[in-house]
Amino acid sequence: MMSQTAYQNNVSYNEGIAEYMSLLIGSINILAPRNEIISLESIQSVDTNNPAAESIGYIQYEGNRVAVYCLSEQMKLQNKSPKDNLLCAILEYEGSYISLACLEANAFSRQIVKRQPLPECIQGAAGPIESLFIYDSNNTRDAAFIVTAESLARFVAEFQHSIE
Amino acid sequence: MSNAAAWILNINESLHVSVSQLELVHIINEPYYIKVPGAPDYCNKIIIWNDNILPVVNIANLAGNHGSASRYNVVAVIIYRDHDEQVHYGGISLISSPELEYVNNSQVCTLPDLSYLLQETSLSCFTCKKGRKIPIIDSSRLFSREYTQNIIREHARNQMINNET
Repeated sequence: MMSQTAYQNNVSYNEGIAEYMSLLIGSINILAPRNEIISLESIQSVDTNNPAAESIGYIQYEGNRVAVYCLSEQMKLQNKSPKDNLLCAILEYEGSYISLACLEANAFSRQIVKRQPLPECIQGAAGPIESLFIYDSNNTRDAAFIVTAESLARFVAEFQHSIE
Repeated sequence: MSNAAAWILNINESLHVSVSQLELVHIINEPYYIKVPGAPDYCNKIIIWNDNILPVVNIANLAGNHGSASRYNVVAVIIYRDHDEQVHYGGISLISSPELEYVNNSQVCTLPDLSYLLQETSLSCFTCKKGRKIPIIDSSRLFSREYTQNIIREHARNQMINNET
């Protein structure tokens, strides 16, 4: 497997190199299923006029206006993107699009040992994190956090509902 | 009078709790904690044990004590059942290894003055041989989603009260 920084506009990831992409949010790496990431765009393409609630703006994708969200390291929605963020990952779930700002995106090339749901006491309390991976890191075990298009959309909807 | 064995868990110098002998299945020294972003302070760490991810609860945090993470160099691995009788494992952060003690009904006592959050997950209490009041923890409740949601609500309520004053 190869690991490469994916910083190109309109990059399509249909050819599977790795199952997951690692998106850097501040200093936190979260993993998103590669087959859900349909494009990586420059954050400079974001239209910040009249953003959707708790988003940083919109980005155009194949004629659709896709809301772009930005997470803090504490997995809270921010309505302004830190200057470090360079990319927007556009994710698709059942025909809907949602976008997440990040510093960088790389193919996740570690050997995955096991996927596990969030422990019950953390469920619903860790933002959009949906599940965890145990992976092999130089013969020791480490864990990574999975965010899917569905879990991100659900988190955004719940957050918007909570502030109404 | 029959005796039952209980593990006394050293949460910190002033707080000790207990679980039954069979609930504690393993002790991990110098655990490798992984922080879960966004999770509440009392359960924002996980460990990997036997290729399973375990949530680790810091009971001192529930009691309002926020000690340095480096002090909690022991994790007690607890086995518990959820509402559906499914078996799970969870960890409790300790400052030193637990001690086993045999207790009987004559040692039952009232709960000490605990935070509301800690009272809510205490089944009952006994006085140990050293004279300390030791709450018995309801592990199933401690690691449940409902308990976390209660804590989040309680924190939000306290924050609202603080903002108003």
